[in-house]
Amino acid sequence: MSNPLDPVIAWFTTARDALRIAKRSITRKPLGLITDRHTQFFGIPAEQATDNVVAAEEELNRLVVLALVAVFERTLRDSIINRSTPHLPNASLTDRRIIDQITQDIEFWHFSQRLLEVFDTVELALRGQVRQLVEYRNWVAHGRSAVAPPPVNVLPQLAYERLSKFLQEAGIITV
Amino acid sequence: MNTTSAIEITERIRQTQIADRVVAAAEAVSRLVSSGISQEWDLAKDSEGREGVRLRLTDGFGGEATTDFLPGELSIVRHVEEKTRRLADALGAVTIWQSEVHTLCVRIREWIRELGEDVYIEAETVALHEPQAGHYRADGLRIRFGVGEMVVRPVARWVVGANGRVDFLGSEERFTLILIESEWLWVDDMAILDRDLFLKLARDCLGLA
Repeated sequence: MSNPLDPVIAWFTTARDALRIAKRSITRKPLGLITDRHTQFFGIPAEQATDNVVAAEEELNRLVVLALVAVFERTLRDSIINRSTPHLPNASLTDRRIIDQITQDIEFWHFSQRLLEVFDTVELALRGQVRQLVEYRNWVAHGRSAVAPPPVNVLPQLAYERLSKFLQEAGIITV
Repeated sequence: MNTTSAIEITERIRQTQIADRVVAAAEAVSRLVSSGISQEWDLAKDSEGREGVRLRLTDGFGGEATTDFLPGELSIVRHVEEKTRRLADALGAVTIWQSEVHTLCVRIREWIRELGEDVYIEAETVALHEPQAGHYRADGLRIRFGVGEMVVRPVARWVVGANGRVDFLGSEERFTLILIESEWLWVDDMAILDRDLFLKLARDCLGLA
């Protein structure tokens, strides 16, 4: 299986570079580049426009981790379902219902406490780091509490690298 | 076991009803940390705004780390000991991290001179706060060249997948470096930071590229 996280990090890199180019364009002000169709940039001071881009960049960094962890989680659940259900009897309607119930049950396994722990051949430290990424994902997904700071510092590129490494060590993807 | 670490408890604490508990906690901390580590205790609010006390551990190498205790926590010796162990570990990590950041700043001061004679460099002290080490400080730099400005800012010691993060914040660009096994890497392509790469990033930050 190829790495399902690759498309996510690819769109992130494109979006990040686009924002960097936008920032340069604001600073260098090439004639006619920013028009009144660019509502967030037209007619406002360059500093304010740059701040807007920086804020968008920071939001992008957070949201891409959310996306990476979501794809990672789906991949783990699918892997467990695909590994287990083909081995179950499937000769009758009752068999089929048992398979459906098991499949549904796996969907409710707690991410950190059950799902990750199935893959106990993955290095302990790496499992711990992935658990931290899940915590960070929860912090982003639940509205980024202003009172509680992010539980840990996360960079999209490192999140991608750590999650990919987990999928490799779990035997789900090949390099 | 060690009972020789220096203890400083502020007068503000000594005038409160929890003074005895702080003294007892400080003695418990002394038994756990090595003799070169000093303790400072002061009244403080924690990250949620609750009144309590702050323990600051400092070592002889400029390393520092803090943790906050609510008054009720001070009476539970096992709790004080557990927090102290974690803080002492964090202090060791912070000390190494501060040294790595300092060394990076020294190298940057040398490299940036290649841009020209009129590069202006100003040392800065950056206040950081992380859950693991509480409040501490690290070196930073502010660089000005022509109309461009670039700040070298330590961001975090605890980063998932790395042993620290420093950002280059420029008028035009911002880049992130991470520390892995004593090497600084530019996170975008995991290239090791050397003189050439630094100058490339610095030119972008300063709007020279």
